[in-house]
Amino acid sequence: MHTPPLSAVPTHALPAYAELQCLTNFSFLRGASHPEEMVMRAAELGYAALAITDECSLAGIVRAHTAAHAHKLPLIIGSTFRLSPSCELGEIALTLLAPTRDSYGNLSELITLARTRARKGEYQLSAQDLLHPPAPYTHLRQVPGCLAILTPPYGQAAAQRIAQARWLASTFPGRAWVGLTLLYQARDDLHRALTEHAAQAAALPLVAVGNVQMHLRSRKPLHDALTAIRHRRSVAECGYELSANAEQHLRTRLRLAGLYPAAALAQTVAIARQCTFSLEALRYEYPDEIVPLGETPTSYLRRETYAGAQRRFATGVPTRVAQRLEKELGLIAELHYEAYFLTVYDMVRYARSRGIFCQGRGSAANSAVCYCLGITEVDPVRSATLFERFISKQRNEPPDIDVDFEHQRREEVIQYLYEKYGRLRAALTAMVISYRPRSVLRDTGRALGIDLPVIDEVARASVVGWQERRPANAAILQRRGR
Amino acid sequence: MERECVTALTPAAARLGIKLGMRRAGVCTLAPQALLLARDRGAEAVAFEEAALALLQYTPEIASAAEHTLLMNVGASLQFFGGPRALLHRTAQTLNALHLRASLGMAPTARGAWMLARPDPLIRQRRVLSLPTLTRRLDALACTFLPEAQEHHDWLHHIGCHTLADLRRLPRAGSQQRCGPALLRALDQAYAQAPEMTAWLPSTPRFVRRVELTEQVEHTEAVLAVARQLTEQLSSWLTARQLAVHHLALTLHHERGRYSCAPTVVSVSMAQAAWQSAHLLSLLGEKLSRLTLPSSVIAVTLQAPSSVPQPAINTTLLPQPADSSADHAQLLDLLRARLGAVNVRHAAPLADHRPEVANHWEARRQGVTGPPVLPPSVERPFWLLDPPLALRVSRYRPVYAGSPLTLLRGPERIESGWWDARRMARDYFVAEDSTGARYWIYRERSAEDVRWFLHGLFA
Repeated sequence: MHTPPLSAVPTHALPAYAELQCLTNFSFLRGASHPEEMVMRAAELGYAALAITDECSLAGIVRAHTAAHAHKLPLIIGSTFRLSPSCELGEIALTLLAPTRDSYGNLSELITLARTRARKGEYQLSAQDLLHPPAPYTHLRQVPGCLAILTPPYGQAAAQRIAQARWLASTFPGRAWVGLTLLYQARDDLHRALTEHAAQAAALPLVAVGNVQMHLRSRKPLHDALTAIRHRRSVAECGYELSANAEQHLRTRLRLAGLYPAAALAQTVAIARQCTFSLEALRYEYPDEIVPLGETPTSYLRRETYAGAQRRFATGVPTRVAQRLEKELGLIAELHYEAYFLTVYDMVRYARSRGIFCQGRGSAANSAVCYCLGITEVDPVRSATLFERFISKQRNEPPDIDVDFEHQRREEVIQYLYEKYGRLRAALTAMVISYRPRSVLRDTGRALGIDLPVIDEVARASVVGWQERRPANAAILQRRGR
Repeated sequence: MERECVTALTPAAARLGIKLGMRRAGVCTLAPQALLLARDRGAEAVAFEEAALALLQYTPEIASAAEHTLLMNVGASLQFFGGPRALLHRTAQTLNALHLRASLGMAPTARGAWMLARPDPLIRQRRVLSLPTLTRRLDALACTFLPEAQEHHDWLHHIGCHTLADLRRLPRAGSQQRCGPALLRALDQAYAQAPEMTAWLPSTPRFVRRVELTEQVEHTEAVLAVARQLTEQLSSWLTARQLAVHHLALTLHHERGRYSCAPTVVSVSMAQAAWQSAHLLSLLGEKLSRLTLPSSVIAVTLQAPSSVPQPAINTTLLPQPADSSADHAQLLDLLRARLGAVNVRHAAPLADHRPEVANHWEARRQGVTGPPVLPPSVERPFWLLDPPLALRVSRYRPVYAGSPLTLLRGPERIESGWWDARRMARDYFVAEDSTGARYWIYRERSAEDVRWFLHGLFA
């Protein structure tokens, strides 16, 4: 509301700051901004880096990564957890950051552990799990590589803060911090003193964190509405469940400089500097067992393709096709996509051997190689499609072949894949279900205390073409009123 | 409105699209002009009790039944009141005089009459005198008229059992096994095939005494003298029966004739049942002292409409210095009588970040009050100023009573209330003046220029 225009502030005079705790709307009903918005605002404010730390989830990081790439903002990947309370420690608010690729893997596994043993939409993790993880996850002991920030909440007792800080120091030796969050609440001074005291008692450095849940102050009404939906009450009935103010937004460095001790601000940048991992480092890694011993993927693909070509063209491979095959194989070898084609080939070959109908499609499917391997049935002699349109050096995108199996026997193929690659290397894709307009309207209406029949009428009318029909909603409300 | 939901509405409201069970915000969306009244269960109970008392003139056997229904056994009164039709007419008139709306049913069985009295437009003939007619009328009613059948409604509907006649045709053993014995018993009672047991309302002893004055009285002091005499009588009457009262009404009758005017009623309600004449008289005295007589008084009536058993006296070995809860209640009674019930208020804090909203007071304490809802770990001043006092600013510092204030703690930022009219954006500080007195002050954040206000005083 009263933020000075950014251009008016001499940015070089301000301390550098990296926000290390930020919940987006992928922390369902908690965060009130999209990851893209967070990244954009952080870049605008000249933050040194931004960590996206959704609660026990990494679902928001892909969007954040794309936006961070566009805005040239270093992105840190992490996650926050509320460890289930134990008698001596109480509930622990913990943020884990993944500085390296290995630690990213460990963090992902920790989330899998926490999510798979709770009901859908929930998770369960305790302080004990970080010290002695259960059977198949024993290598996650102390979550190797991850940086840990403890964020004591307002009003927590001094003794418990110290106990938690000591536990953190012993669980994450050399990579633990105590986070100080100042949100202009009552007794900020007391909260700060107790947090500093706890950090001192455990000999841990203090770091400033913002517990950010929205990118701008103006998202407060939305944030309140989300809180109300979470508690299944109307906004007015939520009382102290709502935040007292809108300070959980990305604040200007000018305000942070006046609020936090300089050392705590400097620590944020020190942590950010340690975090070198980027999603760019992740590549597809194809299995090795699809290639017989003594062959390279390139030679094997070539052999199988030509063997297939002999079958397809019993009268001899036409010159046009041979030329095309050479061109395609050259491009595949150049981009190292052999393993991808061979993986699909193996799957299709299995299905064919069992008499399971299947049919390939997708951008890379209309190639002569796919035809010869039996993945598709489109004769390259008769179709004049350009292979480069589908795999191109410029686009630098992995090829795409979808194979449809007859649905009654699809399970056999799934089981074959599990058996061949093992449970840890085969997975079904999951998706994040996002909030649809109709549910949004219903829940928000309820949060504002409007009756269901009225909301339903608006929801029914606007579910088709949500964007265009927005002015109509007001009209419906008015008509209902008459 | 009850629990934010509509429980009753006027036809005009129904035309605006408001329905039963709607919520407050929904009603405001549809009809901002609608007048929302809170449901008063206490008043409902009083009205119901009054109706029962008024109907006692027709029969001593009155019972209350489910859904605000009164059952009257008028078998013995028919002759006296000139037959069923005349009695029904008089009953309707009595209820009309009490400004109550009622739907009357008459039948040879209490259950039958109860069902015929349901306010349902489908029932056309509500008066039935003979059993065969009753059987015919009940047969036509839907199963849902029997409360015991409500929970089995879906099942009954699915097997095509829609009316009570259908229900009676079902094999008894089977339906008893499936629906329990209560349904069949209720059905039999309605059709006079099983005896009915009714708990008649006990008649509560009432006290009514009227004193005709020998001369016209024009001052309340003189009325008080008569009231003293009457309260003494009431007190001894109550003591003899080990009873106590919650309500008292002193009616002052005025001169009849050309200058006649309605009698003045002075009523007193007490938090704790009382019977001591001094206490009763002091409450009446408080009310009377503030009363201006519209006309001279010729007679005074004191009545106690209902009474309760006297609470047992706590017998301890050593005498108690004072029964503090009783004293407290007496003090409240006195304050209410002197200041008016709406002016004696109890603290009823609401869960809200805005201090003005959280600091909520109510005239009457609601039946159940949970533990007070307080925000976690905040420091709030002892006294809130309403409205906050604007402070002068001198050399960038707020000034109160000539002394510049020093900010000790803060800011505590409160931004809340966008959903109603009391939206606020303020920074609160604890400030101290030169003498060490502490204040709770805030800075308005929405205004362009800096404006300071004093909002609270620390004790």
